[in-house]
Amino acid sequence: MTIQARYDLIIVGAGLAGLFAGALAARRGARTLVIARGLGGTHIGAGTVDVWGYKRRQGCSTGGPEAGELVENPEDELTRLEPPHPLALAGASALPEALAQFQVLCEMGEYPLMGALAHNHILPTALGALRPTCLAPESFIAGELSRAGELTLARWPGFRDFYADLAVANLQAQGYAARAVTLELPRLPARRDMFASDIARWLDDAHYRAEVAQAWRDKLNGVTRLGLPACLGLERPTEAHHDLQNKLGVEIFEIPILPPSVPGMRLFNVLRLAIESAGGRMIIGPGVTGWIEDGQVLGIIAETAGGARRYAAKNVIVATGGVRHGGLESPAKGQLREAVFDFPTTAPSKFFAPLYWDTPPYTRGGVRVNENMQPLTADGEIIYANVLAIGGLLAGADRVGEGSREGIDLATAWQAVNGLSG
Amino acid sequence: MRHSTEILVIGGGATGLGVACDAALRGFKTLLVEKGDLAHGTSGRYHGLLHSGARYVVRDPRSARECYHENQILRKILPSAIEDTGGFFVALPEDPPDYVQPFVAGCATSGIPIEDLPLNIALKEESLLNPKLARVFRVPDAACDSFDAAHALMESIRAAGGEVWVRHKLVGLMKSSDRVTGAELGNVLTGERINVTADIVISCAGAWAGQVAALAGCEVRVTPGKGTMMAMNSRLVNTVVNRLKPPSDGDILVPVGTVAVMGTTEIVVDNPDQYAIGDDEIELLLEEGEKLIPRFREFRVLRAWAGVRPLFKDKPSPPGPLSRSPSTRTGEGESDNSRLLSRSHSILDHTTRDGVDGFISVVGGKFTTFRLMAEEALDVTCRKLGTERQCTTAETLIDPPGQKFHTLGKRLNEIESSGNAEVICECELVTRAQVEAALQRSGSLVLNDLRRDLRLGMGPCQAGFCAYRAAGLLHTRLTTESTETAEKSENENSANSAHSAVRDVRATNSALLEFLQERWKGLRPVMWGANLRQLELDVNIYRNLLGADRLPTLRAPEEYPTEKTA
Repeated sequence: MTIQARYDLIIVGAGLAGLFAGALAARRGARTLVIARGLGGTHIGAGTVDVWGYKRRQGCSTGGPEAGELVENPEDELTRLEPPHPLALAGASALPEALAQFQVLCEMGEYPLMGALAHNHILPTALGALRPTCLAPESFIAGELSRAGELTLARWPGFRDFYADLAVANLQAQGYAARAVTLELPRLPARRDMFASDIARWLDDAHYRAEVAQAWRDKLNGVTRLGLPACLGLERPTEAHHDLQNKLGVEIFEIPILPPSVPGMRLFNVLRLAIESAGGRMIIGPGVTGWIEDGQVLGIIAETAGGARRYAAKNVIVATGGVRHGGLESPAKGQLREAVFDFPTTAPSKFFAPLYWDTPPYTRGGVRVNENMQPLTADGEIIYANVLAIGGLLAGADRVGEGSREGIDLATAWQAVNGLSG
Repeated sequence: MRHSTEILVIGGGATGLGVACDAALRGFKTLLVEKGDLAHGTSGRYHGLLHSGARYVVRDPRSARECYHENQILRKILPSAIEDTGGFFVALPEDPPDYVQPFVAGCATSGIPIEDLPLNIALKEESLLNPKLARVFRVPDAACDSFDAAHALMESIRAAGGEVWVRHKLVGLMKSSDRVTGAELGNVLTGERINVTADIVISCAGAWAGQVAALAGCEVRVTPGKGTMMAMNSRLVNTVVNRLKPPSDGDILVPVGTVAVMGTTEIVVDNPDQYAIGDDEIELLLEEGEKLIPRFREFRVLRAWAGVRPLFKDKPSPPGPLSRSPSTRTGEGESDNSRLLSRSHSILDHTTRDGVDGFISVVGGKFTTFRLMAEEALDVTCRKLGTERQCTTAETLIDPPGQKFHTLGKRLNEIESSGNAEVICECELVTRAQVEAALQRSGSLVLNDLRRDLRLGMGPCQAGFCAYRAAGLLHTRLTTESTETAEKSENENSANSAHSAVRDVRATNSALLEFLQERWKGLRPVMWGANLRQLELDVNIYRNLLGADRLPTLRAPEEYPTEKTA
């Protein structure tokens, strides 16, 4: 088995954590490879940066119909966090610095993310629930529910992934002024169901947007802000958003819908561009395991179609995500296994909760790390000095119940890359 | 509200539907009531095996003969729900060789045609089977989709002038001296109470028959035998596979539609509403599956569920007059081992048995013999009512013409030959038009009922994508109905319409959460590997992306009108 290439840093995983770490390292001049079996969590998320969305209830860690109240200022909640929560391990300065740097990268990619750690946006979901998030794309902001003014949501006949009336009714039931308006998408093809990503690609085209504006203009009398499923351009979303707003003369906001997540795909594109324009490399496809000799990690082994290949690296960051992304596997009931290095995991004996919407205890399980993001044995020993773990596979958090997923991804990535360059 | 009928049937499983169908065809004014949805109890939780009877030839020859006879009839009258898969009985090297001779002899005695199959032929037909098999016999088993059968039966009942009310709970039986004169019902969704008077009440409540009989002051002892089974994500076999040994746990594998069902365990439980699935049961099924199909564990398990068999064992010495109708009989086995309790059925005429008139219980039995049970129950009924009406169910086609058992290919063809289909459930290829038609037809507000109607949410994504879409369609349906009602009403005002809008959206939210909870219940016992990964995707969609768990609901999910699992 020949060695394909030597890197300063190999990052395994192409979700938000891995891509952000890759972009940071590459821009600091490290020879960087991001390698992943598949596309990461960006494509199935909301495309926002959630840092802390829900207040913890006394003695109750679960969400559910009586879940904790929405958090207006995530900073307040974060000060009380303790290890092993990854945000506490990463340290108080990691998150604000990571968010600032992430906003810079998105700005460079002409896809600005709006917000600050001291304030959550409260945005409507496709069901009309209230969703707190810290950073959101500019194209989401007009949906802010703390702002006065009626929301108008678009019904798109023939599009199966958005039900404006249901969202409107839920918003009304929670005291918000909202209504729905029917807006036909021009040239919707028969015989094939459209995904959000299909429509986003059409809306990248200025001619199609002109057609849309022509068809919708007369139907928007009295509308001040118009909510659309998040499909407003994929390659040039900011241009698409501004252009359609200008053409229609109303503010437009996007609402994230069922995967594939167009806003998430945009973040993927922004970060991929940042990595590659800084000289970093990305490989998507092969499964990856650690390359270990005499107890030392020399790099990674990639299982490609042409056979196993070795990539050497001074340092490796594992950012393969949690169970949803394959970073943690559950080979049998009640077991959690880390997929690349077989790091020990913390998994509770009781895995699940009785109700679907209760946080199952296993979600707090995962790989234990120290402040430098180095994985630890059950006894607290560092396993390999040059291997770090970040993002979704780390133990100690309830990402869904807290609304903390992307905050953990960015802060732990920042902490890991800083430690390596320092 | 009041209502009157000649025959009132309690229970919307295969037995009740069969009885109501037979009654309606004999010209009785018939009403069937069911507390949940059709096939909500044991019929909807069975493995899908239409027995040839071979399973029972050694120990229970009467059941065997009945099964074969009914198997042949049902193939003719219910083709839309039955797939002629054929069946194998296979012996592993470890299975008792001395079972073969009585099996072969028993099949001959019971008139069940079998074929001794060379192993290489069997393996050619079913290539995943264990190549170390010792013997293989071919039998005329088949697969039956009990949801499809239930729907076809309901259509037949309605076509013959009968009525079917789902989501109506039996609150009490009305009695006048020693006679049951009808029943008090409660609409589970609206809370409305309805008194139904009937000439004869026929209890077809399966494992719940004891509870119904108690309302009439009669004692009927039904042993609820919990059976756990699991659906594999792929159709591992195209032929029903049985183990060639005395019936035991984990000895059948049945191809049903797109899946293969591995079953079953058998555990006697105290209460037919309690059937939590134990990890040991799943482990046992995996272990037995591994014997039939090497590397069975590496295939994805889609879902696990349990049903309760209505095993009947009559009182040792029944009080009251001992004269019984000729077709009435007791269970044969008197052992504590529930596998040895007969799968045979009994028609209990409570006039002769308990001195309570106007009331019949149909107990025991199994899916395959539901038509025969119905025929016998209606024969008793006719005698009681002093009328002579011939049973015609053995010759009457139950199906709506032109329908065939469910296959994915059939739906795909329909979608490809139609216009813009709007596929709401990609796994099972359910279209928007189908969901809308089902919502309108059933009038049900329960998304889980769409699963029984359409297989919505039964595929590998376990409702991850279709639940939101179906909730959107349900909401549209509810608001359309409210608007129509408001237009008809003269006292329409905006306060009313705001009220109904809030009620409609709360009902939709409740239906969505309940649907997801129902799916979760079946997944929890088999939650590892790809299933756990799928769950995380779905939970992230519903909790994180959509915030479904933070919406105003109509009722706490625990109040959902369905069974509780411990």
